[in-house]
Amino acid sequence: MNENKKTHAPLFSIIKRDDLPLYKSIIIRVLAFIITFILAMFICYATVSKKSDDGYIKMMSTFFTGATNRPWKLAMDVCLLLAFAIAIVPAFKMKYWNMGANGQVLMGALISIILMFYLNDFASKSTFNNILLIVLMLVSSIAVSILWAVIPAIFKVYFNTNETLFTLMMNYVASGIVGYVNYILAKGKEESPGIINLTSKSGWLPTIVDKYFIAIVIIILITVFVYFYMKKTKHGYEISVVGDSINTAKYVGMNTKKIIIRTICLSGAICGIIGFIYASSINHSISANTCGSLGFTGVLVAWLANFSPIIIAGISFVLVFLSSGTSKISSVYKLGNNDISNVIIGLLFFSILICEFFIRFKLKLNSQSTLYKLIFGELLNGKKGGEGQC
Amino acid sequence: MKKLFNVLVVVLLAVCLVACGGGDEEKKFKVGLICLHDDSSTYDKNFIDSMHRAVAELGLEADQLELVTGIAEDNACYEKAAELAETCDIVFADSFGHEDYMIQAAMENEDVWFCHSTGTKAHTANLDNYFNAFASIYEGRYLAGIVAGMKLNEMIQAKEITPEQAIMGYVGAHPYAEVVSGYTAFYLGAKSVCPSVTMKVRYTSTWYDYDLEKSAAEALISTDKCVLISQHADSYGAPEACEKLGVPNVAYNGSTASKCPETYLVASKIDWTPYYVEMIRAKMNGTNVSAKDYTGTLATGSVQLCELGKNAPAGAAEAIEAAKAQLVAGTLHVFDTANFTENGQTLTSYLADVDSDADYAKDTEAIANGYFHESEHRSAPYFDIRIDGITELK
Repeated sequence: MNENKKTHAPLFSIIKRDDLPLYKSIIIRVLAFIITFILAMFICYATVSKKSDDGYIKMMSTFFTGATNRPWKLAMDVCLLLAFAIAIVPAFKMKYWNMGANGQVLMGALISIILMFYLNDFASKSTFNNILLIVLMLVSSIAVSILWAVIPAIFKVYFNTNETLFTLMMNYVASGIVGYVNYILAKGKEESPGIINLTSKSGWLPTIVDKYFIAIVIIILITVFVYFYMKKTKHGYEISVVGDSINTAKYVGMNTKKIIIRTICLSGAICGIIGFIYASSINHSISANTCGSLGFTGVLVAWLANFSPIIIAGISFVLVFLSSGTSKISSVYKLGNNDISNVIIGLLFFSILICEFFIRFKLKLNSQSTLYKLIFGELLNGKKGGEGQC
Repeated sequence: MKKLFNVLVVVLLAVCLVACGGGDEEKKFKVGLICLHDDSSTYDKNFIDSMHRAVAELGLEADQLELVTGIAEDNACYEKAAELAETCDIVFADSFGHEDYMIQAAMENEDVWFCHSTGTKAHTANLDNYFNAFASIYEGRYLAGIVAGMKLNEMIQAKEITPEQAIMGYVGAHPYAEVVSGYTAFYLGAKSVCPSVTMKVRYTSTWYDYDLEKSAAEALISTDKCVLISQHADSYGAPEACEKLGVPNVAYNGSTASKCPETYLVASKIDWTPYYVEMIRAKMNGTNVSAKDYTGTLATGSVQLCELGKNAPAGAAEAIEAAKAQLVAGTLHVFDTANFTENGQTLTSYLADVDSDADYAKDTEAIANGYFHESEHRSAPYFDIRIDGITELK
């Protein structure tokens, strides 16, 4: 019986790490980034060298120019990805799989755009009216996004529906509504009315330092708020208890329904603010593709960062930095499309995945497994207990 | 371990500094081109190829052109245009939805020229550095329509179809003036040689979707009994559906002869090269351009027909040349009101929506001297009359 067990023992055991010092985990992450970066640049150069005689240094110069020549744009892109990831953190911590950030942001942006479109004359009359419009846009965006987020939450809480499918479905509904509203605003003559209030700039956030400055500050404040909300408040504690075990939460007397709905309202509110930022500071227009795939990339980033806002910010920066630089290489060297950028982003995700795995777990070789004996048996030549780990 | 970490950080910073240190070069004249898709789209490929020809014709070096693809019709276009404005002297964009973002960038970068193809606002935007362009492509559509009509005649004579079965199908992207103008010109070209022809139009509600365009073409052939297909959509969906089903196809934006050798008849396209050459040369030399809203024509070489397919009807080349000469001479007008009716009535007056406004109000009389003056009041098409003989399917 004992012999039989040994025969089926796996070659590796995966063991959770609890004792890795912070500085070591940082070193692993930095090393992973450096290795990925070097590999990515070699892949880029292999492609570029077929199109141009420029050397490696010239290509690297192009990369860094592309990544850094518009620092506010870089910061805005990083903050957008950060905001999407932060928006889903409270829900995911609770093991409520909110895949609907895209739809919630779209609906928030849509109501802002509608208000901008129809209240242009009112807002153009005075600065006070314009401020009133901006406040109205912000409040409406938050309210609509909360509504869009809370519908699946109510169904989840009271009817135990699958929130992943429900929130995904709500994304498609939101896209359809956006398309239809654009059709109405453009009176069926074009796909969309384009930029709203391009000349009057009604409902646009004012330019202070840079056009993105206020939006960036708002997102940083949201990030700090979510960090403290999750770490330092009773609500944050309740979220982690519900996430660990909903039955335990119920047993200790927590009102889990209320906690879930309250948390999803928070998630929706953040999405509403992102939607408001899209309308008032970034696009000033809307389409079904306004958010791209940030809602899903945000999930990936938040998950890989173990829902830590600081690590989310770091991963977001690295992703946007690499993406901007490689896009510049694509355009300067006329590579034809942005595929090289996508390959490198994929590579980066792969490397983050591997390094996060080894930060959280370690592999232990199992000397009792048949495979181990097959591989190392002759080498060990009869020695016993040759256990190792990597 | 900490020492190793420090060394790694220093090495990374050093690499960054070395890489950033190569920027002390003399500023060259540069051209930027922003495209919605890459060259897998027939639409964008046409712009990209035209730009490469223009750059070669002007003797510019490869690094004097920066080509950006996959730029959506949103803030990404503004950001890219503003970024290109830092290094380029003139920036072009190729998609209708890019227009507002190009205007936004033009307002903030007065020294750089922003040239938007297919747009409608340059003549009212009141910006010295913002330009529009289009071509009288309806003339190219008309010529391609003649080839289609001759092919139908050939099929009637061979008793493959009856005159009443001479039904053409058209895959349209959206029911906007640009598409309506194109398919009407195509139909009128066919009707000029095959009087019994009728046409059915299916919309895909997108400019670029291979599957939708393929499905629409298949439905036109199998459900609507169309015996010849043309399209105003940007993928190879419709031509490849025709090739699969053995139905003649008239393409747009470029020849599909290599992908669809058996069914390709002819294609019309805009060659943007003359426009690009004129704008770039003017900016380089500091001279004025001929118009803020440029309309390329058959005479400027902007409207072109691609080579005829191997199964094109006999005599097509001669028929094209004869009609082309008349169009250039101004003795033939595509939208001659004697050649079409709306609800059975011949039109003597029509207000078109030429100037952009939020209400899309019709503001300009377009019919004079017996024909609709397309692309004369502005470069982008504004013919949006639904004429008899063409059915838009819901």
